Amino acid sequence: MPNQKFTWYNGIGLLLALIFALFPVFWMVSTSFKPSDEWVKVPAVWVSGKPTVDNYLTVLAPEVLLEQRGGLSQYDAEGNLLERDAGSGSAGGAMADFLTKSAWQSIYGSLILASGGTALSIIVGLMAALAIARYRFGGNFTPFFILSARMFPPAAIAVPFVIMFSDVGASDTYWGLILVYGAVTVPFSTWMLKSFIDDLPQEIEEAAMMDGMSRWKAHLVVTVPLIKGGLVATTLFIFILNWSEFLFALVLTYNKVSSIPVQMAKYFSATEGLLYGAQAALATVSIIPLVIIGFLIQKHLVRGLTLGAIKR
Amino acid sequence: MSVENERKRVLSELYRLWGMHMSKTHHVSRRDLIKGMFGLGLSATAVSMIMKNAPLGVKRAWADGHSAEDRAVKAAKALYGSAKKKTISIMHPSGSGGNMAPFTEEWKALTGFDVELIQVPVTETHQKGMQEAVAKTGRYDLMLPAPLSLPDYAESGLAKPLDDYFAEHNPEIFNGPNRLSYPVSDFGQKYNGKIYGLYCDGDWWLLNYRADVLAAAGDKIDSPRSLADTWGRYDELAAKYTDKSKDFWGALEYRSPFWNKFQWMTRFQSKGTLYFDEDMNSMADSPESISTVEELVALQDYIPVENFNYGFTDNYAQYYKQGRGFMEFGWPSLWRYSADVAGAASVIGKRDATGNPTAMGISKVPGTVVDGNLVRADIMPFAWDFVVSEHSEIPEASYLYAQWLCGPTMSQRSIPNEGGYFDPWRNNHFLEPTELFFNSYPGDFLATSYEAVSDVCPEIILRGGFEYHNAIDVNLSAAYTGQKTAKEAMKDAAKECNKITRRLGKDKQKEAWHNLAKMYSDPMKKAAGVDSWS
Repeated sequence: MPNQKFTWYNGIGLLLALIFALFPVFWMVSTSFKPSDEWVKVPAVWVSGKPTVDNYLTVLAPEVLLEQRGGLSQYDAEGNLLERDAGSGSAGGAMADFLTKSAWQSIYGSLILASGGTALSIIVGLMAALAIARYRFGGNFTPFFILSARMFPPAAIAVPFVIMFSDVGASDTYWGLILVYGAVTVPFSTWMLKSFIDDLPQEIEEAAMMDGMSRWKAHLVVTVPLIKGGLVATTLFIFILNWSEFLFALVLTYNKVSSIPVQMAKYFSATEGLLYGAQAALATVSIIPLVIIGFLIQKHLVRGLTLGAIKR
Repeated sequence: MSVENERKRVLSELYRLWGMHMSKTHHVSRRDLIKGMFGLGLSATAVSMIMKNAPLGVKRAWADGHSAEDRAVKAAKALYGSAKKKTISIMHPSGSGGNMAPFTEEWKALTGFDVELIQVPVTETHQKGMQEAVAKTGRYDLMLPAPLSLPDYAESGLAKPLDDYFAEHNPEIFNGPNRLSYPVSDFGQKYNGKIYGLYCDGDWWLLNYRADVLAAAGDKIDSPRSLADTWGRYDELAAKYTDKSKDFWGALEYRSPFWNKFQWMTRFQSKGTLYFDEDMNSMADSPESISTVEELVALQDYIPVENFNYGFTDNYAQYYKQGRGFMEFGWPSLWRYSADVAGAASVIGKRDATGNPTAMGISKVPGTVVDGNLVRADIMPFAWDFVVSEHSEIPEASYLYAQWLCGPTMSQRSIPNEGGYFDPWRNNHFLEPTELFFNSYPGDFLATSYEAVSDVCPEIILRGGFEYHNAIDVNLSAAYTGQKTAKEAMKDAAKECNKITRRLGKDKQKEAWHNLAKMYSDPMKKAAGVDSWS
């Protein structure tokens, strides 16, 4: 690669790209600290002059916020509605849905669902990719057959899923949604992993087999470590897909199971409409696991993303 | 007369009265017995029919002895032992739990039935219901959709007709002093003649305005509880009170997608034309509709540009609540939260020494003079109904919960709660509010709202209602933003509406439309000539 100087216009270009990429994140974090009257203010409030953690309390510790606002009790012992304290400056006894339940259930739910769905997808996708790339399983058509599962909108299969899941008792269960997440992301994991395996010389595995390894062992001990970068990149990609999935989580759950995207859509109040602050706070919280995972695997990620960039 | 003769006379008289004749042996013959029983049966039937229809009939007399809530509790208690399911699962839109959650324990203590609140995003309520219509899981016993969902829920077999439950348990919605007034009572609960919903919320619009600003300018309201009787006067006020240099706007009307159609509905229909004609052709492209859109576009000079993005709550929170607008149409909650200085940090709902708000005014919506009569078409967007699922294992108990919570007394407790959407709807809410109920809707609100109820008109509560709404909404947005002229936009809207009608079956839609049109207020029916429709 020829040596090129890093010029000032390279820097400006990078800066613009960075602003473009990071602006939504900035806006999200900024909104998460804004009081409600600044959420949709015109002209926009870029950084609040009166930052608040109320949005985070709404999401993570509503009981604290509720306590500040006068608690749950809106009735006295005789069942009469309590008069509110006009001097308190806050709504006494607020009973809004979002203040009676924190988002922790949905955060745990998303962690379980995204992890389970990703593990299932990667295991099945890896085996499918090996079968296709190394043994031409099913001929040339198989990869397209698998991809066809993504060729229609998920909404088209949502209701049939509801019926089937209801019949087998899989509605509102973690395992049911994990199955769905695994199934709908398998085409991606298969195709991505297939491309990484395709780039790996088959001779390496053959040499391992000649040294006495079984097919399974050769793939497990030789192939998988060699495509580690690709595997990590694929895993992260699938995890993000599952982490942000909304439709199936909405239609296949009721009360027991919840996920972050569904919880986010519930932040609505009669007085303030969509609670952009709470939504931004939950979104900010929700990207933390992804940032941590991305940071921990960044070495593999870079390798995985560049793997296969140069064709043999 | 001897005692024996007297006994014979009395017996003879009794037998005669019962259609029998005394035999010589004073025994009743088989023939006499049959005749007597027949007579007795006829008499009993006649008495029963008379009593049933009498103002103080047997059933009514029994009903008067108890409240709607008592009847619901007693019946639910009786059902509890044999109930297949002991928990009533309620699908409700996010943001509405505050009207129900505080009463769950009370209901359980009274009847044994537990209540499970299943919250769904408010924007997905209709879809979740339709999903259940297809899946038939029975997971929901009760649902809380807007009346706009009723036709789709009914046609898909999801909503259970409630006529029998209404007749048996009498929720006091169509009768008695605590009833809901016509026409709201009918068009938001009935579809094609059957009852599918039980109200828990009233949502007709009123016009909120700054009474202090009006007074300061020396202006007066047109008539009692009416700031502007006509749209012409309303437009004049919007122009007069707009002061752009102070960022103060005359009319805080809605111009953003989804919300904007309600402005059209209330102004357009007051001109004596309804959504469709007798033959179910869309009237969106009628001269009245096009002129309405032209008026709405002209009015935009007095509306802040942000309103092209703001929905109800943003519009209220950013402008009206902060004292940056003169008038805003709104749901009852607008008044409630404006008056609630503590809760909403409102700058307009200031209270005087007695605690009464001083700066706000509340008014019926303006109207149009049609054939010498002032016609107001007060739109009721939303409202919420309890709907019993046809797939529920405990439909009656579920219905009874709804009757209990929405009863005349219970509703006075649940409606003022925080964190919910329920607003006043029953007559007693307006005429006999409890002190705390009145404090939630203080000042002249309840009286004005009650006076306006006779002007209330529905959205397009037909099968495919959401599609009709969307067709109008999208084209109105195009007109408001200048992408289409008013005429082009409304011609396109009408074309799309007619297409929806054809797809859903014109004859069936026409029948449902005629049923809906008959549930308009009398002045509107007269202005639109509905009574002459065949």
